[in-house]
Amino acid sequence: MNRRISLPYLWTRRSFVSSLVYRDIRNRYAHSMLGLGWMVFEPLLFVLAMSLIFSRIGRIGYAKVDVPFPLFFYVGVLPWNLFARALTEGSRTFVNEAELLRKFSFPREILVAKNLLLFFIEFLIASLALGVVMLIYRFPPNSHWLWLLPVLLIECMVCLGMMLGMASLNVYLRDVGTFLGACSSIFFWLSPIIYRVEPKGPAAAILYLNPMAGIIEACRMIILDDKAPSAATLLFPLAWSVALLAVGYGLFSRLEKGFVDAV
Amino acid sequence: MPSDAVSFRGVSKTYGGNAQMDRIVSLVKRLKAGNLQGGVRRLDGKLALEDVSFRIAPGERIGIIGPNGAGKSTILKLVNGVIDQSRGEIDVRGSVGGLLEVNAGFQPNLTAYENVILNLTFQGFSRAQAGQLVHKVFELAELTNFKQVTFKSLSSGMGVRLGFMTAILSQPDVVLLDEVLAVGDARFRAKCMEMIGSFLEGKTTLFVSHNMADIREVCRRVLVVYGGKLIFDGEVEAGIRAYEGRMTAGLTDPEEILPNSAHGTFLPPAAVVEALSYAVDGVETTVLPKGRTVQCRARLRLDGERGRVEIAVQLKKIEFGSIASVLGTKTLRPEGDGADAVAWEFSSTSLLPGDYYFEMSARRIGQHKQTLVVVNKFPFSIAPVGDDCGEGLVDLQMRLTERPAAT
Repeated sequence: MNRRISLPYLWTRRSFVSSLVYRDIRNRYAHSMLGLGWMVFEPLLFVLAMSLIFSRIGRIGYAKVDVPFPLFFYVGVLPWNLFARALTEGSRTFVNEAELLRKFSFPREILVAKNLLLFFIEFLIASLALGVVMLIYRFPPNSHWLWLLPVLLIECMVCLGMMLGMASLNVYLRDVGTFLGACSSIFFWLSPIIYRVEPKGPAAAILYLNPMAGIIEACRMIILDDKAPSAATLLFPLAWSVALLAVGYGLFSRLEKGFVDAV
Repeated sequence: MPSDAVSFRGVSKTYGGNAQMDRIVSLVKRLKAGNLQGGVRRLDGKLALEDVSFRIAPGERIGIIGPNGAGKSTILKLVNGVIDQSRGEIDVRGSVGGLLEVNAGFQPNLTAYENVILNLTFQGFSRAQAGQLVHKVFELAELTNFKQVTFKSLSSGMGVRLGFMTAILSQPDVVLLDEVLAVGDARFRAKCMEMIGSFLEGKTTLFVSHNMADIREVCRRVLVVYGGKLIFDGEVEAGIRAYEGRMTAGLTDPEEILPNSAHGTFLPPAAVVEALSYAVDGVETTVLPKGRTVQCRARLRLDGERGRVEIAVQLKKIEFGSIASVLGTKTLRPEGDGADAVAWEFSSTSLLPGDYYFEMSARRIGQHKQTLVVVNKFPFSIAPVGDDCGEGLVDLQMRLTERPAAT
């Protein structure tokens, strides 16, 4: 069982991974008329709801931004959702696949890779809704969009490291999954989703400790401000991704042995 | 040794999770209890398999029998690689497949067709290969018209048919079949047996079943597992007898059963119980009168070697089961033909007329590397006397009396 995973190996198991992704998507939208359409429709409804609330309540940190609120909000919520899925669903990866783990022999990391792929596909489909919002406000894409690639890569690495570690711990201590689920709503407010980080404000340093703060800010700079992301936004997330990957993989490889006994 | 399809050397398996995590959990428990003395200990796990060794040559068909919880499925899961052993070494050559549990992770909301494709890809096929195999699966399962039906609408028998055919058609080098024939109707069972015969020709097969007829049909060799230990490895009939003997005799606890053989040594049937005679007043007979002392003699053959054996003798009545038993040890001193006599006696006073038999089982005690349980049945009957005896297990001198006992 000492087959260590690598990208070329994952490629040889692509049928396995794609089957799992297919199964998850099919299962979620079985007996549903809109099916995949929900992946676009759901975030759009969310944006609509949030826009209605914030147009009445007032405009917290958004006041100083000159883009329409729905656009501002959605650019922040998109990368956030990817992270939130990894935090809540991702930390239950192994527990949720108990049956598969008991019946088939395969490198267990595949399940984490599959979840990352699944969440990323969801992210891409949900991004179509961003296109809709941009069309509504006639807001054009710009040449800095290429910067999105490294930003999203960093976010994926953060998610991957976190899932590896947390999903492994959660096999033995289910408290972990429940705790992270509760954390996600706290994280939502700690991340600059309905507000922006003031670069020179005193809170910036503390806010940037949260890896998602930098990533969300970077996305806003690219998409809304037509700028390259600042070094400040990317440094923390990059450090986080390396640390989380190292810790996550360390935890996983130490805890992997007893998975089938414990799930 | 490298030519073995499967080999286990001194394999033990303790369930109970992960050593490192256990330490953390036990530390948390201690913190909660406010007691940090005594260091951090490993939590006790459940020992499912202890020091099991065997070798299987390519193409062999092995039956694995034993009571529930004996460790049969654990062996299959170890071969499959779903779980890792706690100690010992396991070598498996080639791909492993088969059915570990009856419905192999089928999704109730997906169609039967999608499920089979998924299952094949889980087993390592590419989607293209799966797409080619899937039609054959439905054809052999005789469910061609059910491809687009959601899996939950299929009957459980149909589900097993799909699972079985998927497993068989994936044609792994080592096939594991765990209780696959327990579900399904007679016609399907017959078909499964035929499939095992044709498709698995030349494939190394490990077959777990509680049905001895299936074991006899599929396998040429059996492993008997009892309480996590391998107590027999050898020819089918002797193995089944050893298993049934163990089950009926209920010899002591499995802990004692057997200091297993040297790694990889097979355990041939080493002892035979034979030629029992019943005698009353020195006259041999199998129809015994009531109210007499009966002398019984059996011969025990143990490969011509002397040694101490544990002997269990059980008196059973046909259709009723066990009535009485006696357990003892004896030092065997084999004579010219390698057999020694075992004798016991009993009183026929409390037996009602009817058919009975003695079951005798024996096993070696001590360090000897070959120890096993053997059993044999020796019938006799009690002659009828009069017609006021009643029926039941034992004669308690129960009679109808003339009038109620006066106070």
